[in-house]
Amino acid sequence: MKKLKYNFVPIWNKVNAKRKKAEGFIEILFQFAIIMSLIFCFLTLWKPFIYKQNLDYMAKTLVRAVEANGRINGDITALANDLKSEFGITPTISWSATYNSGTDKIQLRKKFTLTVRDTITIKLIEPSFGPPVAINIPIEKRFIGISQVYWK
Amino acid sequence: MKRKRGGTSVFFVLFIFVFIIVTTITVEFYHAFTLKEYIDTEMSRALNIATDYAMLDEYRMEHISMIDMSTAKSEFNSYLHTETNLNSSNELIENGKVMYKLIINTTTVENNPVKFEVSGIVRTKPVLLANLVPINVDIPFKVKARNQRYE
Repeated sequence: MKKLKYNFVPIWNKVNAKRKKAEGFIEILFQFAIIMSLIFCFLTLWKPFIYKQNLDYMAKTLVRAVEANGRINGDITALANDLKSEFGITPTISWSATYNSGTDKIQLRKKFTLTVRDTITIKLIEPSFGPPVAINIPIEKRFIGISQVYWK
Repeated sequence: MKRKRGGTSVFFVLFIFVFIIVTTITVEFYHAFTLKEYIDTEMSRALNIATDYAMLDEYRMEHISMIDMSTAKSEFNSYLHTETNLNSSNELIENGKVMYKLIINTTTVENNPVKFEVSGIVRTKPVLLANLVPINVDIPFKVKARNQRYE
């Protein structure tokens, strides 16, 4: 076998080292992008998550209040308004129940449904030169309660 | 070089092992926690309904708080069987499988002031390990309802 005039091994080693460095750089770039995405998701989704928690808590409190009260009256509306202002949320609240005829009373063991609806806005980008890019996610939750008051 | 590669594999397998254990424990605890919350809510509803239904109004004028004990107990049992779909053995069966069994250890009804108290355990099986580990998980509960006059 004829021996090559030039020794290419050192050049090949140099090229290989540079390629490895470039691979390492791309790897770090990807890792950085993944970490930044995770941080962005955490910061962006934190507020809607808390909002939903507050909405659930408010709905459960209202259902519990109607269960103990046995009627959907001004006290419940006032409680709903208090909870809305306390948590800074503005959901649409609707009740569905079978009332005692001509009253706002729900007989013992009769079920009622509370539906809360709202829209959560997730801002993706908020540029200074234009309107923010946002996603609106509608939320609808339904809670079922049972009257615990015996209307005689 | 070979030793290092082997070391990495062992750490990876360990990581997966720990991850599976932590996930399993989390799922089991979450299941137990949600079941306990559900049972507490339903038992509380059953007791409140039974107490309100069985109050004896004729004693109220005399400022005596009395309850019809047998009515209270039957109303309580009626709620459990109609609203929470328990069978005669206090078991909830879904798709031919026992999801949980309610074991009531003590039932106490007292008069003046009226107090209705129930305690016992909920017996269930693990979610993920039901086939591997044939054990029962007992979750205790204690619920109380009172009827109080304010006027």
